[in-house]
Amino acid sequence: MRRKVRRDDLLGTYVPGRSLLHRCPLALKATLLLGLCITVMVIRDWQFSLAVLSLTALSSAVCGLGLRRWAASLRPLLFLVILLGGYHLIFNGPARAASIVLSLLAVVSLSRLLISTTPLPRLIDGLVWLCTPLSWCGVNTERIGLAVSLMIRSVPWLFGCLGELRDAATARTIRANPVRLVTPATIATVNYAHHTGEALAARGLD
Amino acid sequence: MAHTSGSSSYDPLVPDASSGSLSCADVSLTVDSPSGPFTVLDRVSCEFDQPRTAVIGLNGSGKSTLLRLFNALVVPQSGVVRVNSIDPVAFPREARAAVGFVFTDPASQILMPTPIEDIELSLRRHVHDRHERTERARDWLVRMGLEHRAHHSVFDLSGGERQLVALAAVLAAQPQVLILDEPTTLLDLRNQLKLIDMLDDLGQQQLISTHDLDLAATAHHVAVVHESRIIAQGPPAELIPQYKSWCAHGFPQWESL
Repeated sequence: MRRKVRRDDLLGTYVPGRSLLHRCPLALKATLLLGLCITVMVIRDWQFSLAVLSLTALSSAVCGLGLRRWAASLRPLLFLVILLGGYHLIFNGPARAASIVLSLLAVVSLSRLLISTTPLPRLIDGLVWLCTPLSWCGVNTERIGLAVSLMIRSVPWLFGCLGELRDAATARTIRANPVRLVTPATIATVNYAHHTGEALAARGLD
Repeated sequence: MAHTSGSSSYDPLVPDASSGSLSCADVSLTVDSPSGPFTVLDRVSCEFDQPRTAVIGLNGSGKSTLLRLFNALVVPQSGVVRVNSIDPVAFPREARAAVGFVFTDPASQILMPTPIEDIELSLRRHVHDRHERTERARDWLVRMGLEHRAHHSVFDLSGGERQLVALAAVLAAQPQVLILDEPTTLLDLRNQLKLIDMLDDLGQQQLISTHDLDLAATAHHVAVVHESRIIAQGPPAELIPQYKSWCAHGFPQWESL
């Protein structure tokens, strides 16, 4: 039986802890992780990407997040990995394919590490602080922080919605290929956006 | 139960002295539909000033739309709406600050990935110190009996737990009035009873739309909405049996009321 993907598997949620990464100041932690992300994308070497990916796995284990959870968080990317890896394997060779796939996995893992070891309100505060120069131009930086928070909260929901639509189709013995799911998923997403807007308005956050 | 730190005046369980009245006068609202204009509210007038008012009626009767008038989630084409003398159309922010709104489905109301983060979001506007925000959010979870779920994904919570988190997030913003749109519809009996117990402990004026006639029976005042109009108001002991009879034998025509 295929394991159902948890709604928050991809980006994860904050996991309380007292590890070095948990206690590390956000500015230092974010700079380090962002620096690694950029380096992975610039160098594009599969061995380097593999090393970074291994580092995230080790960090997850040391921070109490768990290797199983780390591995499960990458499972939603499987389809994309197969698609991208297959394309580059055919047209650009195995080294390039490995570089692309491992870079993607490494960057997502690094992002997840940041989110799992930092409470979301802290991340919002950090982002709002980072956007301070924009506030001098009249931009409401709190809204930027809120938009990012909603995105983090919404991505797992979208994955969950797709899973539920697939299950609903399967229960009705309808083949649930991705193309068939696009329309109901779009409708559900728009409905979700509408309800989110209502909830924001009701709480005076619009 | 008083808060243990921060401002000494903060206690959202004690209602603001000015809380009092939700009213509308001659309110009408029409929406476009594939089959032409559809009247959602038809010249509705009401004044709700009891501690708890229940709004009952069939699906599609206009109950939810009536509730949404009071925090400007819907805007009528005509008529006057007031929330403690605030016009929600002209002053939506002020009205939404005064009115806490709990939706039927908590999953769409909880905006953050975890309960504690969602409650902290409500506190961001008037609590600037982040440690105090976290402490107050934790206090709310303790009140709801959900401290152990503070950092769990909202998708891991039961329906009842999500509804309590949604309620806590609304109450954390210190509203004067609480409006709940069918809050027990998606809950099992145990969670329904838990939510009702929680509501009984609150000091805010409450306006609740519901199909649960046991919940309606706990109200001080009941309004029956049918086909876009309020067709009856009164004490629950009189109105609930009347409503049951109408459901069984047919509702009266508007002109005969």
